Amino acid sequence: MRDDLAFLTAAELGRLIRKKTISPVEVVEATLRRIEAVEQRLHAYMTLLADAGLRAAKEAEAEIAAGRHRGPLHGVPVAVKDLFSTRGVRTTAGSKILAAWVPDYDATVIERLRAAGTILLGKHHLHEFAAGMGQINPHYDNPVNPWGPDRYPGSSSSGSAVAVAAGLCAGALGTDTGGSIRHPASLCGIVGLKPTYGRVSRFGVFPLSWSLDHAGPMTRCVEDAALLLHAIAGHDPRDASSSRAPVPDYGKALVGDIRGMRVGLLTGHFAHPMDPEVRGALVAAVELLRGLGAAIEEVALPKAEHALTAYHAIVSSEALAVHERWIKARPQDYGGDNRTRLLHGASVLATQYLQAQRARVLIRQEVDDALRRVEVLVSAALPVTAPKYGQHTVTLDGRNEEFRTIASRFIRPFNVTGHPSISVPCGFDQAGLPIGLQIVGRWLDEATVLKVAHAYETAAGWRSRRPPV
Amino acid sequence: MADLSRETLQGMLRELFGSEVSPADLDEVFLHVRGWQEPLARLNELDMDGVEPAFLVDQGKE
Repeated sequence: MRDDLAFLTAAELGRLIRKKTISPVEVVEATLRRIEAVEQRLHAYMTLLADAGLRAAKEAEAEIAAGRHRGPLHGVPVAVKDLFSTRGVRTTAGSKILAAWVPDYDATVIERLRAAGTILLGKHHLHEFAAGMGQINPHYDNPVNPWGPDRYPGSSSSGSAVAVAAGLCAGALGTDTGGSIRHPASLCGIVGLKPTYGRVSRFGVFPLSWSLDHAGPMTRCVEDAALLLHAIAGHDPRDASSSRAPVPDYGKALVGDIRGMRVGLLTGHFAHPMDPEVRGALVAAVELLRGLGAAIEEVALPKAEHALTAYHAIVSSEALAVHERWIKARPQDYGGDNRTRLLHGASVLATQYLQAQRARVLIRQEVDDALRRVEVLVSAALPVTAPKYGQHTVTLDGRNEEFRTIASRFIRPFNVTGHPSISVPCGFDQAGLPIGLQIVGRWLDEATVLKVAHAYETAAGWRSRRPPV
Repeated sequence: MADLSRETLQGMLRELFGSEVSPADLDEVFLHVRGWQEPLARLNELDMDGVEPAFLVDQGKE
């Protein structure tokens, strides 16, 4: 019975802790037992903070017993991608170069998680410097998808997605520059939310590309994503791009139905190529939304194709600028794939970078225009389910496609535009592998994205499935 | 970069990084460069008259 605690949602745990039905210590102990049982197979954790987690759980227990309850996440164990700076705890960014780096400060989101009373249980594996979709990290263990021992878990917040799916923490924070929250969330059957650019502070998050980086929650349900977002969102003077917009209570946004809501089904770029089983799940999800009272209409975003090119020019240039000093001095300390991608940034002209930033304005305007006609846009998150480790191509619509290119096709445009976007589980293929539904909302309107995702999740009932590990 | 030859790329990387890039890395980088030439050129097909670049610090401040 107690080990089942590891699979309760963060919201459920928070409610039980508040009522003193269970204690934070019991929850952390159950989660650590679960980690001990499966971590050797799944490789989710770069650094496990078992002792510190138990100490923090005892402190939370005492605080709650003394009547100082901090909120719905007090005493709940979470963990983060090892890209967030953590005071006194090494922060590798998945790299050899930062293998021994111990920051003397917390990222803003870590400060906020601590203030909310969460228990930081550890730091998750990721791709080297959060780059290299479709690749492996040559320096560390690579996480395994809990839905299949030979399956790729997605990237780059791979350890976080695996940990959340397998009950190794109640929730996690990831980062998403070109899809790195939603990509592994879709492949591992969890909820992954990329908030609006500027909604969540990037201070203390090792950068991949300043103008594309986002941080956000990865959770077992939409309610948890709302709670975690509420804990970490809001203005931060230490992040130049941080929004001053007020943060709504996302938990309260989940109530009510979606009758009469206008939902745009993305066509064109977002509909092809796609695995037939993913297409079937998408069609069923849209019909379910229609059944819940939403009005569905088709929406095309013709400039989305250019978003991938703009992304390429921007991320290549900005990532090289981030890494220029190290790649010159220590090229051998980068994985081969990452090294050549960074070198490639040298071939992008300043004019191409600026044209990409101009194109970005037009692409964002196109999405804003569409979102004046409808309240959210939906598509499949990924056109495929999890490939096997080492499988670099997939066959879609009769053509061989490179997995790392095709996998981010539907989600990456919203890194370029900055709009909030979530992946929520919407079914399984015949091999038992999860499929994700993408829901995109208006600028800073995560509340509506969460509301639609929650309505869908509740009606669809996929959340009760657990991975066979 | 339009019409970039392998040799030009090699010279560019040598100048930037102060040493030779390995032939294997050069091959890989050149492949990337070639693959992106056409899509980058197609960005110019967008009607960008009067459009100024989006700078990151302005993105989130609304």
